[in-house]
Amino acid sequence: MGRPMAVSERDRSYFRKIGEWKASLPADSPPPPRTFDQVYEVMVRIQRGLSPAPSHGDDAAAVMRLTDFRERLLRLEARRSDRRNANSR
Amino acid sequence: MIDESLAAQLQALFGDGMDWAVVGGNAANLYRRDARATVDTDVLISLDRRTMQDVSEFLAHQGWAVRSMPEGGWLLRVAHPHHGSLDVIASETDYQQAALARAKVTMFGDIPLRALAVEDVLIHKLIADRYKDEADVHDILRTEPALDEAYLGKWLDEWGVRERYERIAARVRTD
Repeated sequence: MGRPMAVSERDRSYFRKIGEWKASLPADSPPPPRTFDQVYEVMVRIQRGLSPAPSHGDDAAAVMRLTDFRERLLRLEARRSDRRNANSR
Repeated sequence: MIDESLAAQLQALFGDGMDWAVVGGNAANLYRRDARATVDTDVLISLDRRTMQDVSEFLAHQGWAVRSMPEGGWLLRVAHPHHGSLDVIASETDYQQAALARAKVTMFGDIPLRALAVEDVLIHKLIADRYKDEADVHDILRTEPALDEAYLGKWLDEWGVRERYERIAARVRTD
């Protein structure tokens, strides 16, 4: 049986340094708020680096994501409405 | 990805009315410090003036194929060989109507589109609550955007997402 994996303080410090370095880099996009054509130019640049460039999302995953979002929204909306009704009584 | 041709189609379909807006990753990219890769285009619409069937027929004429239209007409997912996937989502809550009413006109060249205001992008992302939504909120807050605090605060409390927002905002302050 192998030694249990552990994260040392040295590991933490290493990843913290990488994070700080990344955060210090200049932004790769024109400053926000942007226009849609500025976003498009960045997207073209990003996609050039992806091989093959994704053109379509996963239909089933997208419908599941949007259904989940909708259910959450409707659940919260119902709770809001109940609260409003209780307050008006 | 929204390019000039998709921008022109969205404008032809939805026009200058205040009842639609680009949402999701494309809207977040208007406000993030760094725009991120996003595949699907999401549009929120009000169905007062049209049905999802109308939208579906218009898009079919433009070469889009219907991939999914769940019962109740709240969602239409279409795909195009050049433009990728487009999700058209019907507004069903008071909050979504309020967000549509305050959406911002945002240009693609000389084509006016509508997109959620930054506060509503944050609220949508906080409700959706996936890893990449939290990353969007974090990256937007890093730009220190001018926020309508009263509006944002009202909906953070209504949706019960204030704690999530404060946690991410605190992380941004210590970055």
